[in-house]
Amino acid sequence: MKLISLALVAAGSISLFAGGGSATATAPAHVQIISPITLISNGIMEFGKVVVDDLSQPVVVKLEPTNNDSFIANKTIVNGTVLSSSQAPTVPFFHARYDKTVGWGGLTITTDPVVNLAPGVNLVPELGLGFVKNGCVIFPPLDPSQEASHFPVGGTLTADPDVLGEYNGLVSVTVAYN
Amino acid sequence: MAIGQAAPAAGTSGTATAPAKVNLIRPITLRRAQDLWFGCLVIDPNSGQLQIVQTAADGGGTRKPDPPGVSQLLTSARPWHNARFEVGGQSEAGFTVTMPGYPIVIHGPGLQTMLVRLNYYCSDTMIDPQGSSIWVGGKLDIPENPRPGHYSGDFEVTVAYQ
Repeated sequence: MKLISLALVAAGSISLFAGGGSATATAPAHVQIISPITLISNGIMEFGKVVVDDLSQPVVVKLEPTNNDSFIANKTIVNGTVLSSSQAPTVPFFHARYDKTVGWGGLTITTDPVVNLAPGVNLVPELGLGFVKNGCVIFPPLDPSQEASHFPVGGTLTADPDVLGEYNGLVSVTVAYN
Repeated sequence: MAIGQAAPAAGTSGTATAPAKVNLIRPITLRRAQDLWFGCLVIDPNSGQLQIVQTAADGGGTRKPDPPGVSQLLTSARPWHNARFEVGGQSEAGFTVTMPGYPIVIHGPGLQTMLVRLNYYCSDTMIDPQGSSIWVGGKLDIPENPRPGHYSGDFEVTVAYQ
């Protein structure tokens, strides 16, 4: 009020700013750096030696994981018999290290729909996502921002009639942030 | 300027009048409406140094990594956005904007830091009756192999009547 009176005496023209002539506000600038995904595998998808019962029919061998910490698999065969000297059926495991803030739920896991081992010999991989284990310890000590999980991968192999021999291939799995 | 007139009466004294004027205006205000958020970045460990350039613009702006293709913005995370401030005060009054002329430091896990060079956009030089906005973007310098985590740091914006 005093300031206004003085202004009147001076008979001038003034805009009163006092403390209201400027204003300041603060905002944060921020970013979240996410750990890159690391994916490694161990174990193999071992279908073993199978004696074909009827060469005029296709052979189908299916490997299914049995739990979240064992390579041992259940094997079922259509039109074939396991040779007694055959390797035990196993499935590989894939181990993923990823950012904790994203979490397992923020990942998408994919695999090849079909792996062609040879003409007439195809493998359809099946992700064993029912056997996911969080807290995988295969990696070196994790950064506090990271966590790790693993899962097995089974599959179904189909060989056309009259296809004999030993065949190998690679199963590719991809883990990505959503 | 008005010229005061002396009263004709006594002669031993004189009185004159002059106009007095005052213009009381609203204080200028500034309110933060939105943070400056560069998003969630997955950095290629082999990328070396990287910049995220986030250009301020009215309600949008652009964002790009430099060099391109060495970072990934998670689509599942909150999308990036510029900061926004709302300016209030006397309608049609002119105002200026002051921003830090130096890079600000944002702090992450441990002692890790990054620098942000700010830029801003404001289409108004006078306060709009509906309110004026200031958009703030920035250029984020990401060092080689940054430690994962949340990095944050404050910056100030000041507005003043002209």
